[in-house]
Amino acid sequence: MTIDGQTGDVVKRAAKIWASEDDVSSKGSLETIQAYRVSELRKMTFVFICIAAAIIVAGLSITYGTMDIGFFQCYEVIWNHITGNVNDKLIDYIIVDERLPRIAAALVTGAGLAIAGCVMQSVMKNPLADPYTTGISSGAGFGAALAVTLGISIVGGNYAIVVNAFVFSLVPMAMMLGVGKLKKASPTMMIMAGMAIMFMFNAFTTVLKLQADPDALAKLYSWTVGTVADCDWSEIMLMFVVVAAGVALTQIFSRKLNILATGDDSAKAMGLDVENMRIFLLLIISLVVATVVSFTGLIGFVGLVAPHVCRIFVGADNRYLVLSSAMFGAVLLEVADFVGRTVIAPATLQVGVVTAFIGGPMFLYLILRQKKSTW
Amino acid sequence: MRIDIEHMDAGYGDKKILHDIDLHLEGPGLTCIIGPNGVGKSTMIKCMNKLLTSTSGTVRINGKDVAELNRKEIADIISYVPVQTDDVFAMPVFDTVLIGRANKSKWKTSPVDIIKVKKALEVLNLTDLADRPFNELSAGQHQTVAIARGLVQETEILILDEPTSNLDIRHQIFITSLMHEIAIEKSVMVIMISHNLNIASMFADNIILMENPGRIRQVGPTAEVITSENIEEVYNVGCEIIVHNGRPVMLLDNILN
Repeated sequence: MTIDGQTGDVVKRAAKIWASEDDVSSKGSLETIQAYRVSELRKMTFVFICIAAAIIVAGLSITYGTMDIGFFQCYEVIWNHITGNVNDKLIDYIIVDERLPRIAAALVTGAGLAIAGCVMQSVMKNPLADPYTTGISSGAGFGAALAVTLGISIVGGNYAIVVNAFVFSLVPMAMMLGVGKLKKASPTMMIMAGMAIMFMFNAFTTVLKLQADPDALAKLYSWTVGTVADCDWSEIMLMFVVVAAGVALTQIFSRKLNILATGDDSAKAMGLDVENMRIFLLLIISLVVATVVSFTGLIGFVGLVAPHVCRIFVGADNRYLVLSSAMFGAVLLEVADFVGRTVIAPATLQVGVVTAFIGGPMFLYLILRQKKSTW
Repeated sequence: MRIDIEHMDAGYGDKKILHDIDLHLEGPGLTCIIGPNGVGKSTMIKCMNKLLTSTSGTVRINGKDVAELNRKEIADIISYVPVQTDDVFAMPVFDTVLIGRANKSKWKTSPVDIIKVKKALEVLNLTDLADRPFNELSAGQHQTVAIARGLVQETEILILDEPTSNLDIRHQIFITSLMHEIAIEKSVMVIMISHNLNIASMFADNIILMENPGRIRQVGPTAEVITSENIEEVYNVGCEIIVHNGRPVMLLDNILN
């Protein structure tokens, strides 16, 4: 074939198509636009399903307790409390002060951990990245161990563990970001740095545990397992503000996350300041995780699993993945806490244990039935 | 549109790859960069859009020093198709190409963005793959999708790093000739690295021949650059040049000592 032969004609025609005016009103164009809008709607539907599920599961969870309160009555009581129109003070107290904090804490914590997992996996381009594989939990664990076993804490009193966990959970991430900034490191190098720091902190924690008395060990153990039962409203509000800001910021930058996922060179060539964007996003989510973890202790699995499950339904487009991961994480942790409270009632199973029990098999099932494409 | 490189040295860490590069490209057309492995072809194109910073000398795009332009400003002028694209969490092909519109589009994907992607897929014969996950494609299809993403950025300069390395000969001819046609039709400066000298010779308006250690040996029309003397000295491979359809064609011999 020559340049002017058959191949040449095909190419010339293709080039002419590319150079032609963009006709957005032709039948074919309208069909493509329509199909794209339908796919957008389908992804948004999943986000709304997760939001609806969070509300419904929360309602179901509130009804559970020694006093029998109906499903719709729960919402009515909450609504009345918000509008300041409280009819029955006892029921109001039971729902708003006794039952709701735990549920709200579960929702906020789940959303925070899931968003962290989602961002970390996308930024690091690694399906195994989550707040735990990158050392945040080990930092928090060491901070808590320091307060419990040696009584060394940044602030005294009730918040000794919380503040210690918060500050020390930021250390591994700060070191990871430092490596990233100074060495212009690749995501893989940053993850490996995170893991190295995780092992160091875990070793320190083990040394502290060896010296600790049984009471301190028990206290440390219960913090390590992770629970959403002990948060009061002021703590929940603080977590909510940080998590909501984290979700909002991540959502705003979700298009940049998509660009980042194309590879560093490609993303830079598309106008993205790759190194600074990566550090900025990791900084946001490390603050989110540090806040959540310091109040609830170590709750694993949500950050790893929620984004993967959502990818099956909405794909890897971060514009939809960020919000749906947050919502799905909230539902997942809420369900886990509800199961933990009911499955061996009147005893309670810690939510951190239940997330692994529910999340593990669910994740395994989804991996096995899923085609390779999502990962 | 023009690119001016003057007395540029570049490399990685202490290792210097490019030596005293001088290059002036102007106007639309297809320019193919050829040369042996490791000679610095990719390094040179990375310096053009500041993916790599030169250690000395200057690089100017449209008269402006790239050192003084930010990434966004460069991305508005140059689009770049890397030799490899990440696909850890892959989207469907349509959405993968749509990412290329990031610089042009606002928060909501506009009908024009959607139609641009549709056209790019049509032009590159990828329409049937639009809904397929990017990471399920063959290496050649993968590469063609990356080219589509480069096209939809609609910049005046398009740089491609070995865009045909995974393609069969028909598709190598198709992509190279398409780049030539688009350069003319859309008035774009297309710069691509190629290892298939005969195909480059068929369609390139200009050839940049690089030689070890990291220098430009010659820049010019194909007939002037693709000569047996050049090929034998640069690649250390014996060859005979014949003319076919007005273009030089290489008949290869054995490796020279």
